[in-house]
Amino acid sequence: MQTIIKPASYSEQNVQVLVFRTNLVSAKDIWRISPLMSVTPGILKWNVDQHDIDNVLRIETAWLLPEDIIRIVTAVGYLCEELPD
Amino acid sequence: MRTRDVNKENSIREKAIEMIVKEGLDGFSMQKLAKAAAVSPATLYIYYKDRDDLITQIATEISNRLMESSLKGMHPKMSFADGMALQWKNRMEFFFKHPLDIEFIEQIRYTPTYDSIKKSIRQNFGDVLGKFVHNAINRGELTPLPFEVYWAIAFAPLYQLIKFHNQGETPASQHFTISDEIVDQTLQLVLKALRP
Repeated sequence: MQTIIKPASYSEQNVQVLVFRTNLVSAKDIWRISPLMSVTPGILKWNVDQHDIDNVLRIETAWLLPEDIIRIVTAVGYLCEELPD
Repeated sequence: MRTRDVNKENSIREKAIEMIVKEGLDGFSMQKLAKAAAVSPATLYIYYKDRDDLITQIATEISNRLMESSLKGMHPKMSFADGMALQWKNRMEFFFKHPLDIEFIEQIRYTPTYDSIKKSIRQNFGDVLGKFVHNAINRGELTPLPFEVYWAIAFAPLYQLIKFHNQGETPASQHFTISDEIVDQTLQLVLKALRP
């Protein structure tokens, strides 16, 4: 019998959406965190809601925890707190 | 883990339409919507990437539905009179069944969001209505006209009647209700105007 071994890929089911209230207000702020977001393994997609009052940072990830994101963003001096589910 | 839930998604959409129609786009925020729809802001971001994405998705969904329902039963080879009667009937039905959806589209018609859904509307137009109009011209049932002129004559009269109906009054009368006779009388004049 053949066994199919599935690679540990980002299967759709494992992807979680994490959302944070931030003070990433301007395009410049977003530009500043952009390199951090792209070098962090595990961040599949990210964006900041620039047209809403909470400046929500939205992250799609398979394994990162909210604390990981908060650590990365606050390290460069921005506010970042998880929005309650 | 958070998962998608179709019922929840529908109720979020309904609330968003209601809020934007009532309060306008400027006063609209994800947090207010979350409260109104009794979900957490975090939940909203599962369904939508951001505020713009939410508005675009809702507008696209409505305009697809409007297009689909106005093309219901349409065939490019129909006679011009039959096709127009069907279009008028379909459009009127949608307007009366989904008044909030129509108001929502009107709210966002002059915003950048609307630009992104215009493309798909144009595509649909060309595919079915374009052929229908083209065939009618070839059969000598319709005067060739610039699109805008054609559209203004073909549909604006219907929309004005609907507007009067929604207002419940007109410059000439305090009470106005749309009726089949009035619609048909108007449609016959429109057809007459468009005939070569």
